[in-house]
Amino acid sequence: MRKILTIAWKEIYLTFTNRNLLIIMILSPLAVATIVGLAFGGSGADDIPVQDIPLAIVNRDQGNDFGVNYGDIFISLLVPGEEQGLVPAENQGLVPAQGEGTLPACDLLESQSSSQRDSNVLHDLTDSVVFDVAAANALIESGELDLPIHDTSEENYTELVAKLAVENGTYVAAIIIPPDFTQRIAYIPRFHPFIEESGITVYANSGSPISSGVIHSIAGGITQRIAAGNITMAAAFDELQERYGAAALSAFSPDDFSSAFACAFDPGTDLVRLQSESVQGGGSNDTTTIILVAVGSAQAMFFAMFTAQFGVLSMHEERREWTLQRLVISPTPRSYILAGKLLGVFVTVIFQLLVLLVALTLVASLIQRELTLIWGEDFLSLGVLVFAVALGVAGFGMLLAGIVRTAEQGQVVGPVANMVQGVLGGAFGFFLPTAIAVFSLVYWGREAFQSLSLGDSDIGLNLLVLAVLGLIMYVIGVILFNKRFDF
Amino acid sequence: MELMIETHDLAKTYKTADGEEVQAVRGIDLEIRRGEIFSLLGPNGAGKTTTISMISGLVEPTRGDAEIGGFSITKQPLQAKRLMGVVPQEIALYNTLTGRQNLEFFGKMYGLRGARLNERVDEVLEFVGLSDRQKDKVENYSGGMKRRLNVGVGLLHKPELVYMDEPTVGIDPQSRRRILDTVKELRDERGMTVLYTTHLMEEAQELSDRVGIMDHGEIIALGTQGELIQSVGEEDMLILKVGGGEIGERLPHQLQRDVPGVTQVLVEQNDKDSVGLLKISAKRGRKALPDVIQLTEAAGVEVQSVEIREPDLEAVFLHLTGRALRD
Repeated sequence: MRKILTIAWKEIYLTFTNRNLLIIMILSPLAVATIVGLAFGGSGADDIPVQDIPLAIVNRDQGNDFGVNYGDIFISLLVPGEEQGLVPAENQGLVPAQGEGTLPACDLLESQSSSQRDSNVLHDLTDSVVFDVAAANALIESGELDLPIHDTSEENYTELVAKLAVENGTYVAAIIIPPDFTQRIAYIPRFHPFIEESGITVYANSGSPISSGVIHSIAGGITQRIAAGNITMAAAFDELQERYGAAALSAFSPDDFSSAFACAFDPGTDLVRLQSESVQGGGSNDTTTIILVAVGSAQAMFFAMFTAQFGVLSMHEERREWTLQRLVISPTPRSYILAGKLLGVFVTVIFQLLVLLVALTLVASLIQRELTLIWGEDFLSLGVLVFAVALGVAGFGMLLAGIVRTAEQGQVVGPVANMVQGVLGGAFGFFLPTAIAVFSLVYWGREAFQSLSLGDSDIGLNLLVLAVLGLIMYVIGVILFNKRFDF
Repeated sequence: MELMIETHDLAKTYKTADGEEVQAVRGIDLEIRRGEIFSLLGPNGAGKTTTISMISGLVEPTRGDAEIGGFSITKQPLQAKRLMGVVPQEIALYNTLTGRQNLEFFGKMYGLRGARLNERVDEVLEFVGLSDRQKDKVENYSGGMKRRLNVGVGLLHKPELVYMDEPTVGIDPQSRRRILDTVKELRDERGMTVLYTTHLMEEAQELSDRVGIMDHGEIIALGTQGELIQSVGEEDMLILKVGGGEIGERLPHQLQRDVPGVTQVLVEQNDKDSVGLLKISAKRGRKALPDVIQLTEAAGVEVQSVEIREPDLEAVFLHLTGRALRD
């Protein structure tokens, strides 16, 4: 074991004392990711770089008995007024009528309605449609979707069609609001005096990670605002009840509370920040972060592949320099030599990935002017992902080392193979369809990093693919290497 | 006499890219005694390096086996390898590590640790004369310094047996002298067994207690220098530097036929106008010399200088193969 560690340490030492290699390992991916992030995300530009993202809103929310329907808030914010087709606002309980607007109105904001303030920005960002049965049918009849058997009366028909439309690229994402969304989270004094957990689904096309990330952020912002409004109302009502007693409050109807708490529900008050930053030239930071995550993670993997290959292929170089023979001649089993070498490569790749993740976090924080944990806060999953990525790229490196016969062959085959992986996996700022991208390790790693970044820890499949593929390639590589390696 | 190395029918066959089989070593039986310097002498491609690679466990024999201090290199490789230090023909060092770091790394591969490792590294650096350059990266060493460090790595763990595969290739005369002195010191002062391969007859003559001459994968002669030279008989070698005409094929035949005592004639001439060498094996060479010169000049070839050599290993090789050692 000591000899394995000695060989691994020698590998790590040689790597980290090689200035040129360090530049390739750390500075290159950092520079590429930052440049792409700033170029496409903006670092102070006064425009909105991502525009007209095709978005389908499947509002299955049935509202509650008091005429409240939070699902409509998504529509009123994202879909231009003439295309909304909503029930008149004055008939919606908590939402008082205010001209043609359908959003909860906040009297504290006097200059213009919240919908007016936010709609311009959101309408620019997205090209949203209300995806109902009619829209689904129209899409199928136009021949854009291939759905041979369909029953329009099926409960989740619109959801099914919307997902297919996302998969075929008609929409970048679909926001799917469940039927009981309002019922579960709406706080209605005396009638529904508690808030239940609920959620909406953002079904996004992984081939457009940046736009998907934007939609995810918007949906998250609106949802949090609705939840925050209900929590505010619940807290206030409890406090009033405690001071004046339940009897004193029983005289009020739920509608009385609705107008009083309109500001708490108004998603526009939350989204003001988005608009004002954009106008003042500080906006689009979220987009930069999203691009940094997408391109940065893919670049990190892309360059980690080079590191792994340089490391493993250095066995061929050591054979040419005769240092490998000197090791074989020493009383050290061959398996120890290989294990030490690979351990060194593995540790180096992990170190490289960690340095890049930290460096990209710093870059994002500098751009945002505050500490921004762009990789999410699930550090355990992040650690496991880095480990799985290292397994994947080290396995890929071993496979290449097994296939080629000389260091020179490796220097030709390796970069080509890496470029293919990088292009397929989205390491250069453009993203190929998922059906092709899945053949790249970079895709599986990037997608997992993006999920963690968006707070979604469901990356089990990605970890499995990276680790299993890595191990399979490693075993095949070792077998080929042993078969071909002769002094 | 106790044996350090014993090989039995040791053979290696390689397959070329076209599938053709090449017999690099053709079943060698060899015995090397403890504490002696044994030289394997032969031209390039004779099979010396392949033999040493099999004995050191680098290359697996196609047939046969070798025992090092009683341990089979194929069945007990780790025990056998612990007894030996290897100095390869190539400079097998990490260029971006310092001299000391190289010694420390390879020392650990031989199981040395801690204070013992430090002590041995210091001793070896002193021994190869690199103490003052130990902190410099190897890439900044001269060729001779690298060679000396290369030797040092092989001696780190005080092996009972040291293989040295052409350790003086491509270095300056001063470094070469230092290495040859080191080899003798290893035997005389430390009692090590040295297996030394070279294609330079002078080195083998200077160093060896016994010599094995290899050609085409076989040992064609083995013994002390005296024994080998005796096998040639009392033949001198006359070396005539000639110029100003093509030697041709007729003159060698004529010399062998008409001059009493001449047994073999070897011609070294690149083209007809260049200076060439006539190497003539002859009993009582001094007596044959006037006839040799007369016949050569009569054939229109100008004799520029003459050298008479007592019988040596070169003559032995020439006698056994009909070729010069450097061919």
